[in-house]
Amino acid sequence: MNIDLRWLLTFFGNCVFIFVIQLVNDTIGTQTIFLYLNGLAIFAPLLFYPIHTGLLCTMLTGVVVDVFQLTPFGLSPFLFALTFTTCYSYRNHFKGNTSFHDTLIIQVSNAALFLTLNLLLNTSNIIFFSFWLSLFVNLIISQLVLIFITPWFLNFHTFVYNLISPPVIENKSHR
Amino acid sequence: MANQKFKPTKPWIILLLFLIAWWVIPSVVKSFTEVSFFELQAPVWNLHSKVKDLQTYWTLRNHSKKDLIEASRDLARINASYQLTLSENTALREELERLETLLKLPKQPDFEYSLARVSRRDLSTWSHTLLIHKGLHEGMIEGAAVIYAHGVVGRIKKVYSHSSIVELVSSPTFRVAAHIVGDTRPITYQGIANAPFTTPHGQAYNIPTDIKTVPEKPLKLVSSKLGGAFPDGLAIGTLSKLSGSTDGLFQTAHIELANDLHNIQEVAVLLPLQQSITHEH
Repeated sequence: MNIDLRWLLTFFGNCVFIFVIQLVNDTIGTQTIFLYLNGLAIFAPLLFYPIHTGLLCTMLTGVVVDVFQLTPFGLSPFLFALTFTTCYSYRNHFKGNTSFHDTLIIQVSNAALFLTLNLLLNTSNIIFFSFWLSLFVNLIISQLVLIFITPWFLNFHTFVYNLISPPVIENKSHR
Repeated sequence: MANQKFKPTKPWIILLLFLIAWWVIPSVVKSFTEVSFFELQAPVWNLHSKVKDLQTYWTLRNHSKKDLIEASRDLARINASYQLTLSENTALREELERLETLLKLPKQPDFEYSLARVSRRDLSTWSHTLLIHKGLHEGMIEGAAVIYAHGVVGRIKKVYSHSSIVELVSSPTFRVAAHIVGDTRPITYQGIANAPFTTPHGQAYNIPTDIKTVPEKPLKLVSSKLGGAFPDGLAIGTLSKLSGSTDGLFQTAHIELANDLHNIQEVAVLLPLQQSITHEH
């Protein structure tokens, strides 16, 4: 059995990405704006890895997100894994592998994650207009930012992925 | 995309296996992972905060000597005013102690202040939190009140070895007992989701119907000692837009919090004196 360890690289790339988002949120937080771009962190494993490695990478990214964004521990890994599997199952339905389809998957998964997270964590606030206003303004800003950074992020991941030759570990027990 | 024979059920079976594995992992291991990940990234935020301080330092170095002289003159005036307030406070404290002894009243809880630097703010739609530099090793405790120059900041939600998470007063999950200045009847304050580009605000419930507010002289909401961690009289915000609640017995109000709440750099943590003594022992 061959184990491709390049998923660790993608995981590390996701960690750096989440850290950068937090830095930006720290700065723009004074205007009560919040960027949620985690849909992108799910797509990188989806692009390169088989289901088991991709899920592992996605769930670990979820753990990091929970620690960075202070969501209840275990919620993000679950939501990320669910989104990843859904995207993985349906990606074969797209004809070809164009950047348009990639962007579409990222946009939909990011919006779905953000809405689910808010509805799960803000149950007492859904009666307030300010909650919905905050939710949709932040969502629109996040989706717009996502459109701009998606090509850069995916190119960067592809470049790093192709740059390093696959470090393959031979599992002797399966010979 | 390379799968030639794609089985639609396979990803879901693998997901199920992963979720079962996650469910089976003991909660001790999960807690350990959470704390380890947090402690691993905490120094990065401290470094980030130090870099920001350095940036401020180099920006301030560009100021002219004239600006510095003017700033030190203003500071001297403020210091003189604080000296007066300090002596007034000492006299009032002595008076309070004398009355407590005379009337055999129970002693007011005493606190010590611990200053802490803010290293990160996380103002998401579901919670508003700050990360401060001090933690368990510096005597921080969960639930301790956090204040600053303009009143209540929030309370400590979680304590790690050298950093703590503070839940802000504007956070939708923050709830505390309060009262209006000049009226001792308790009311409930709760943070709500803040719309973008607006000043921080919250909501107050259970306000008696005889309370009226005028725009020229808005009523001030302060902390109540019924809140537990908070001493009485710390500013929370000002009341605006009073409206009747659905039951007709009470009113609800929109609370305007301090404008710079989401931009604070330094806070003070109120540690109950008894607790800090126990911690030292």
